[in-house]
Amino acid sequence: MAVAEGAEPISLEEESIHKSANPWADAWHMFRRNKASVISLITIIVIVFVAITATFWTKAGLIDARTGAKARHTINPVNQTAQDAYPDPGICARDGQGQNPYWCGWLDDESLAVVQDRYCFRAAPDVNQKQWCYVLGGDSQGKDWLSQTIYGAQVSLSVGFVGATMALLVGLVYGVISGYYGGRVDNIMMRIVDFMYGIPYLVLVILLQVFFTEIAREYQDSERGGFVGFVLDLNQDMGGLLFLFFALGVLSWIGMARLARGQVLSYREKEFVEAARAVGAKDRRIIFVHLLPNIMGPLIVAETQQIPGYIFTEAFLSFIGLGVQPGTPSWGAMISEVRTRGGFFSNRHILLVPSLALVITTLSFNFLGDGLRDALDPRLRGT
Amino acid sequence: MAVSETTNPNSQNVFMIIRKTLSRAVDMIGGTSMLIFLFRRILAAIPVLLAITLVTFVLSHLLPGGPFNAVGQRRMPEYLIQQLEEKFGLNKPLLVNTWNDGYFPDGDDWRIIGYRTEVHTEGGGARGDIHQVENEVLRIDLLDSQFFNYVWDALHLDFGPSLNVALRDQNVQVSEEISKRLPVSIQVGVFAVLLGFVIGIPLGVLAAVYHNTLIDYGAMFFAVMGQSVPNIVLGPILIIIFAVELGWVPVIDQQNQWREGPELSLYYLKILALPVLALGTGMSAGIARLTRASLLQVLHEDYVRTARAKGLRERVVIYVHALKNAMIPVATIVGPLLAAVLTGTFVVELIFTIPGLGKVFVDSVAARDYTMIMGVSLLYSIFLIAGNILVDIMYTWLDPRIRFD
Repeated sequence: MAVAEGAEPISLEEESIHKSANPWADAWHMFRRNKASVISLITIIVIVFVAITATFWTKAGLIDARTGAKARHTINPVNQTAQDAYPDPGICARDGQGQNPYWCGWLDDESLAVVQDRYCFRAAPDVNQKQWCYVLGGDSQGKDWLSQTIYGAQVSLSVGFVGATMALLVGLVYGVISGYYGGRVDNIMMRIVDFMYGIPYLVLVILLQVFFTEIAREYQDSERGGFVGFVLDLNQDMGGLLFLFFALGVLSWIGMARLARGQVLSYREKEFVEAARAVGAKDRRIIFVHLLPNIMGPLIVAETQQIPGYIFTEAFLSFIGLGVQPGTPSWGAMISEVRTRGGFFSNRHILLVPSLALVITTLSFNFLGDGLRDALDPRLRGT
Repeated sequence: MAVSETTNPNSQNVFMIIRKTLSRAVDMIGGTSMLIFLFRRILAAIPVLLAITLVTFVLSHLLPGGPFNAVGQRRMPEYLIQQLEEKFGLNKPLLVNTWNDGYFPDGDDWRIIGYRTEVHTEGGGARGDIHQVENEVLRIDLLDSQFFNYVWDALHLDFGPSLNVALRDQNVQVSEEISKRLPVSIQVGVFAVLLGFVIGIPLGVLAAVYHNTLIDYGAMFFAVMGQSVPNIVLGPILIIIFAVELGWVPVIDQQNQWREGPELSLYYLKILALPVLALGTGMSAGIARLTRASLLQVLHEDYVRTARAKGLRERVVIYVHALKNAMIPVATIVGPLLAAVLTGTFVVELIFTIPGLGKVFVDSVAARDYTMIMGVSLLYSIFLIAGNILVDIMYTWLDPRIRFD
């Protein structure tokens, strides 16, 4: 705890409002000393903000990326080879179509009118028409790549947060019950966890996702009422995310359950718990007041470090077409266009834009996890 | 008898050698207590495997459509589908065959336990006259369902024929197909694990030795980067740089080298390079972080201080005294790593179009190839369980204080 004591005078100098150094204040000061983590936290906050306000940012690009309703238009492959059917953002500038250095077009109020030259969309003839540009190029359906990337953040972030929260909650409840009550309860509960450890994660997730996507596809043709219909409707509105949460969550809590159980076991016989029991504290009070505050730190740290894993899994599932529903922008699905559209040879922005978004996000979460570990789990500090 | 008598002294000798090597092997894996522990773990794995079989079985059969009318296949007439289902036993009830299911193995009769007469034709040609032999076979109708038939066959190591349209016409068995594809996945996986250790351990050691210097920060930045770049990003980027732009390696294997297996040729190395790099980089990142953390912890131990105090050179202290103990947690991740590598190759196989097990699994799910789905998932489960057991064994090997009694 030498580090925490060293941090204390600084905290008193900097913020005299602090009454006393409680563990959370200590953690916050520890966290602030790690610059990479602070930058990551800011990055994540910015990404979350952009994702929440996605409709605002993509208005300029005018595409409703979720439905793509306005954006669908065909591109006539006149004078074009297959490779440059979808121009790079830079090509327009090279061909010098005047004022618009990007892949641009214009929009009538309702319908989209596009006049296409060899590489470019010409500038709007009418000044009153709204101008729009594909700053980072477009996809095969003419949807703006930047807008899709921004919407893709919604999918990745929600998968990361919901996955982590679910795993934390379920695993915590399961592990605390198992560890605190011990005996036969513990034995049975841990046998179940052992069993689930033998299930290959990706295999189960793929099977579940195939099942869910097929169910959802069948549902589109037929009407279904009741609870099933409600859930399917909700899933439809969420672009397939609801079932994805479920598929990712089925196995993700078991590691957390083991960790929580181990933590409870190590604290259960400590003197302060014994003292609480001696003065007649009930189980509920011991768990919530004495155990939980002590074990939460390492659990939160462990779960934060899992977030990139959830994001990766979602991206991979969408990459092979088993993630979100087609039409819902997701970084994994965007990267998969690299294969179908010859992105290896041209149109490199297809790969670059969603990849950068994905890497920046996971990088931020990884640095954040490290910072949180240093702050919340003193025993693992600096590892 | 005469033959055995002449070889008797020799065979006794061989017997002794076998006994010696056996006892030596038992000692090597940690004595009889370890053997008992292993035995118990393997016994405990059996119900787990059965339960996993049940879960995967139910889940794969829940998928809409079947192997004969899956999406993207030519529509078959109804009677043909019925005949195929009868041929592969898919007309039977799924889990348990009750009276209500209306499936009667022996005509109209349904019994919990009974006998069925099976008629074989024997003889013909050189074997004499053709005649028919009737056999009474014990049958338990309740268990004459798809699931129990599958389990029964699987216990006999018969995993059934593949139901995928491309394979079932040639009567390809699941075990055949898997034994063809598994080596491909293993090639990628094993080399990736090797690369992970070869990069990861030196990096971690460097970072720990030069703790809180630029080298440390650089190594850890590489590690975090390696953990943050997923394979679906790294794979295409590697392809673009090394295959398309530089042209050093082919984009895909055009010589069927994956199937033919490892050989010491430039072409094989070229084929191997990108997938192994994509898979191994992420691994090396994790290994580097673990090595660093573990070594840092060990360097604060008393015996390291003692070693320094008696005037040993720093290099000797680190590489002889500290590193050996620091490797314990690193070595124990070999188990989960090997298990994870199989699912890891999943992603890499799809990106680099490698004809391995991951590709087979995704195809089989799309084709509703029930037997193949079951076969591959069971194999993954066995690897996973074996990996977990391996970790426990590793612990006792590396840290003799741990005992399973």
